[in-house]
Amino acid sequence: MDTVISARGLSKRYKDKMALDGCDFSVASGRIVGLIGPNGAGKTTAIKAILGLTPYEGELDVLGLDPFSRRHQLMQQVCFIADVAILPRWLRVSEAIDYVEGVHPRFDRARCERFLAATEIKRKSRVRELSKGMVAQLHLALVMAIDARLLVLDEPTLGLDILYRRRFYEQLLNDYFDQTRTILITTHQVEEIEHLLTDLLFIKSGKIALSASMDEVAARYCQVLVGQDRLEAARALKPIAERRMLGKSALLFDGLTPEQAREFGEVHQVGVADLFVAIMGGGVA
Amino acid sequence: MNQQTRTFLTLIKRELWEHRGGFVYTPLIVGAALIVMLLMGAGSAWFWQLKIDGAEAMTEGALKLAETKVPAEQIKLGVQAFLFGTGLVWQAVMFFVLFFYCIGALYDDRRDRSVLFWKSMPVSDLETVASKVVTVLFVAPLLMMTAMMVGHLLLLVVAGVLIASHGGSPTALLWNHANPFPVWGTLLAAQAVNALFLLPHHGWLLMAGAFARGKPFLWAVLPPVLLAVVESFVGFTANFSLSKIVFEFFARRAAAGVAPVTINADFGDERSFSAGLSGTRYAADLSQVLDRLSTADLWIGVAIGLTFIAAAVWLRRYRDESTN
Repeated sequence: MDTVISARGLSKRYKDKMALDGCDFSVASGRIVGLIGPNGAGKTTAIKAILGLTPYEGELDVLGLDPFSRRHQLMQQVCFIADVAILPRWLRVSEAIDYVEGVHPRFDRARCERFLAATEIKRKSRVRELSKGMVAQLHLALVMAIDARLLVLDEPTLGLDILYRRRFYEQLLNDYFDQTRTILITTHQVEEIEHLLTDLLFIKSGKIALSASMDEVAARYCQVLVGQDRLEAARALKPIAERRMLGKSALLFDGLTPEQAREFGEVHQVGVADLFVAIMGGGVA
Repeated sequence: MNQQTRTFLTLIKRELWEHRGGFVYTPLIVGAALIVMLLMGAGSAWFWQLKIDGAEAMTEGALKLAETKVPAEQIKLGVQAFLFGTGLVWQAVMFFVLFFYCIGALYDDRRDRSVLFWKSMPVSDLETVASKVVTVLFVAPLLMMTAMMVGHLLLLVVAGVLIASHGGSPTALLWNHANPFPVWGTLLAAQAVNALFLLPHHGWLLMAGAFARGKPFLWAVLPPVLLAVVESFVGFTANFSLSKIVFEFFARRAAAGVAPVTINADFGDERSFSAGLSGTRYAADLSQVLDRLSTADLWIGVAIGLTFIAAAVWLRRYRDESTN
């Protein structure tokens, strides 16, 4: 399996603060990776470094290129959607298509037209006349028509209602993703994309707090519903998080075997959100 | 067509899409305004303000008299002065359009964050800035020139109709002497020389736009002013003032931007009439425009302009757009 992104000791300093502090991680081809962290943890900085939008320290290799010095070459293979606000408001839909066709050698106009045909978007409209959801659809149609190897999504559905969010990810999964492509995605709405992720990258205060595939996460972490009678015994095994629900306590364990876990009660798979709170919150929230 | 050429043409098209108002509609509006002015009489008095034997120009008697008494050379000069005069209106308007275009060219997309979209495309920062520079140097001036040429032809038709409606002969008084090509040639040459002459101006504005995180107009205009203020505190030395040099450097260029040729013809009174003209003479001299090419001032300016543009490319690349 090819490595699409590999970072070693990736750091970025803003005046007085380390936005990224010696990050090591790698992303393999054909994965959908969720880059997840609280605000200000360094997500956006990491993405900017990967896209060649900001200089950095340490080693970073994206598709065999140094992103900052080779950004424009890299962008032939990498697509990027930030939140919906970034398509220029004065641009017409037809101009947007002409533009991408003109500058991007891997853009397939017919494919883009096909995606747009399924929407309400008119060719003559300007971006400022479209709703937020339509702008996101337009951007997605442009990007999905580009035969790229890496797609980076930074809060792509921010401010969209649930219908558009659903459709956005469904389309991404059904019409775009295949084993030759890789998607790196950040979002606050973790629950919504949980089912489509194959890998997790947690970032906390500029450091990688967790880098694992979903399978690894499932094997390593579990959540057990423990009754009051067995709570003390379970606590002795050092859960990394605990919260009360419906008269029982949900304890999150790292590295407990299924046999051990079952002794205490009902065992569940850990949700990404719970895991995130456990690892980021530093214990009981 | 290879990809690089295709990309560059697309970038130029992009500039036109965004700035249709300034580059296409504005020159058309200027033409329309000039025609309206001519029809309202202001223009006609301005270009044909002769008093022939004490008679007002736009009367049947005066026009008839002019047909017989005014030498062809003189009429030709007058028509040229008219064409140059109106041509300068387009040029001056274009100067201001380009002033604001340059300030915004590398700033506006950073303000609305669409820079992230442009930068998500396989286009280098050098190509981006180069497309803006080419737009300033060639694309916008050529569009303006085209509008001007069409406008000139319409103005000549309207002026001819005006003369005819006052009882004069438009062919004898206007159209026979209205070969616009020497005028257009001179203005085109002036535009080309100006492109070089104004390079430091435009380079500075592009750089200011690429640098500013807000208020690009102030960043463009304040530094030279501040330099003068600081100097006034430090105190002038008798024979050296940096701000004066800087001011003159830019003021000369701004003046050339507003009026790239000087009109030599003077028709203010009867005296210029009898001054007598010999040989072929144009109201604005091509050699006067081309002479600027051999001045050190122009080429020093070009070098400074290229430095600013290089700085703009650097800023475009290194300016961190993060808001958090």
